[in-house]
Amino acid sequence: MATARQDSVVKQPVPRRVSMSPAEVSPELRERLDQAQVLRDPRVRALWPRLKRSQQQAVLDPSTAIGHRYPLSSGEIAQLTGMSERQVRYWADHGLIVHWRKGRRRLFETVGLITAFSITNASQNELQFYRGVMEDSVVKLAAKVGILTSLLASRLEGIDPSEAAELTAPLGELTHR
Amino acid sequence: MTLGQLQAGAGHEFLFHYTDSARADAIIEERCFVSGPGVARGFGIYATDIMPSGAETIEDVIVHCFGGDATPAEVSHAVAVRRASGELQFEQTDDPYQWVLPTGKLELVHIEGIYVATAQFTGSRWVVIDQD
Repeated sequence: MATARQDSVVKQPVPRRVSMSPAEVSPELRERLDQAQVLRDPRVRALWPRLKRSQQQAVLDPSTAIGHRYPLSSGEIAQLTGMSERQVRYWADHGLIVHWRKGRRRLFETVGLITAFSITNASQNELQFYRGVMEDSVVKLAAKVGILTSLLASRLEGIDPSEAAELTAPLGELTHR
Repeated sequence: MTLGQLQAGAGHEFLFHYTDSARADAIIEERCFVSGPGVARGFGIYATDIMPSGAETIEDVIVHCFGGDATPAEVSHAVAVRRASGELQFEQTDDPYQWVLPTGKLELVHIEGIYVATAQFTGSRWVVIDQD
């Protein structure tokens, strides 16, 4: 009888709780959101069109190959890019593969995989060049960038202004530092 | 909630907030939205009635909502939100594709009551990966 009475009661829809308040997020989520901000950096945006189609696909959906969503581990970045784990750690620790740390573990978001693929796509000569400048002092590095900037400026003549603006956007970021 | 149901409600019932993987996870796990200053209005959660339907959606969103200034990785997730819920209501901007839920000066906002579902672009199609 008791069951019958309960069944006969018309269920009222539970009102949806609606609210807006400042969010307090965990340090881990804060790190992930900071990585999302770096994804919007013009220097990173400039890398996207240079990735192969298969690499872009892997960036959009790593779960097909790895079995889960971001963040990825060093081993998983190695698996996706074909680098060794040791190489991934090397480039990450030298700041060329963007990552964050959870304890001792390096973790990689979308921007990390994009920068890792960019390293993979670079030729041995380019990698050698990067290794060389990584050892330079800031003064020496700035001098080299100055020479390259002059070279770039001379080559931009005759290029469509919008394309030139796109190509030089990463340099503009330096002025915001 | 299926992709078809989200598409059927696009514009009148649901709007779509396009974002990247990490920010989508923040919404899915903690209902935490990253608010940003838009061209049309001040700080707010921006959304559009452009529904996730195919590969061309990514290009449409980048062109119409970001003025071409974004990569596909930044808009790979379509977070479906209720156009109105309780006292919270998205307001249409002067841009025909853009709605905004003003958040004052808050950059990280915890919002209950507007989240519906999230669809992810896999590179070829949209898949619903989470729902309220």
